[in-house]
Amino acid sequence: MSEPDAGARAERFRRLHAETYPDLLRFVERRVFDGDSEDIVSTVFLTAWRRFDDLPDDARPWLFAVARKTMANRTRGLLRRRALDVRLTAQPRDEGTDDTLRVGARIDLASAWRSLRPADREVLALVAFDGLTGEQAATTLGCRRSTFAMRLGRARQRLQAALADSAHVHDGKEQPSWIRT
Amino acid sequence: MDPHLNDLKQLNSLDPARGREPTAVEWTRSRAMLERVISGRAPQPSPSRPVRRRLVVGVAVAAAGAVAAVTVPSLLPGTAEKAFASWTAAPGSLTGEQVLPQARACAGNGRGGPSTAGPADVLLAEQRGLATLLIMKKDSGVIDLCLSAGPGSDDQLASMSLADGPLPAPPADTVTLETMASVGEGDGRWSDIVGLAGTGVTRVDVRPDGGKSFQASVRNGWWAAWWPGPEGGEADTLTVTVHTATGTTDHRVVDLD
Repeated sequence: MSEPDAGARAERFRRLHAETYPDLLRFVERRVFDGDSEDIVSTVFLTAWRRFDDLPDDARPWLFAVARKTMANRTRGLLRRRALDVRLTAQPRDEGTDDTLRVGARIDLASAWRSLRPADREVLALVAFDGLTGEQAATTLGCRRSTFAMRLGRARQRLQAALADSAHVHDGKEQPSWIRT
Repeated sequence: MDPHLNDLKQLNSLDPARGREPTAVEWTRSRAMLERVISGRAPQPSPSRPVRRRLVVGVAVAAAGAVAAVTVPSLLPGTAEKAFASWTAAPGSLTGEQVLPQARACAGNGRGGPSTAGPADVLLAEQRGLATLLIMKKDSGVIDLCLSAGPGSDDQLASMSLADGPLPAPPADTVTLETMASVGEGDGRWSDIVGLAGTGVTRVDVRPDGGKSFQASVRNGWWAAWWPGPEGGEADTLTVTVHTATGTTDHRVVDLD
């Protein structure tokens, strides 16, 4: 590769980093607990540089897929058939934000989320947290778009069913521990 | 996102990384890493760390039925060196009867409920020097991977649950990747790789980048290997070659399902 070509390649890689680093860091931090996120993100970019010529135009799902495998390698002994679980925010959001979901509903939603299988949580998180389209999420999981759509549909059904159960159990009352003082 | 997906929109309020932006320090560190990568000065990716590494020798591991729990493999000091020194690139194939003592030790590791073992329970068994690797199904249906340095229960070095029951076979001429990891520190680091093999797969070879190819074992719909080295814990430093009656195909491990 000539020097100008190498320089242009490096510049494209820097641009990719600038465009995707925050999203990638968030993607990883939603899934790891132990402060390894920067190290995992570094591994992803190292892999991306090695395979830079293979990267698709929409690189973000590809980077997420590498991150997912890297995290699985490190934290789970890599059982690939198991979903990579996604954690939940520890505290309810401040009511003064644009988040209009009332505290009670948020409790029910969190409870329903925790009752789901990790595989359901993973497909829901790719859309709800990571903001991916169905096609991008399918790329991240390494499955067909139709497969992802089916899995997402079922996960949403189970979330709704769990929410219905939760509403029945709580009877609309808020749990004291979640009420802001 | 589809604006009608209100449940997903509401879920967003629970996002643990909502509003999270990299700090100036994180940007600086990441950009510095990027320049090291571009200039070729970046270190190899860190291998998987044995976060919950635990020896299974003499330990009643986890609760019965907790089949998804992983006992990450580990090698005893000293034994690791011996196993490494005697490691061979081509495995010797063993029958269920030949590894019955190891299978019984594996069956008794306490994971997936109490279990006995017969020759037919051994799905795959191979010998590389001192070490025997086997995949076996237990009474509960759990499928375990075990590595041992001898026939006794005290010789069992490592074990890992692979599945909680039979897995669907992949298409005839293809393989899947079920698990891959590296364990250990420094020169004592070793890796394992396990997957499913379609009925048309006759042989599988594994080649670490910059290293020599070695042969995995293929039997009863599974393929597996272990080797001294860190590559099993890296995202994309292995090539897997699948042999069938009609030819061979190379796959980067990152591309395997």
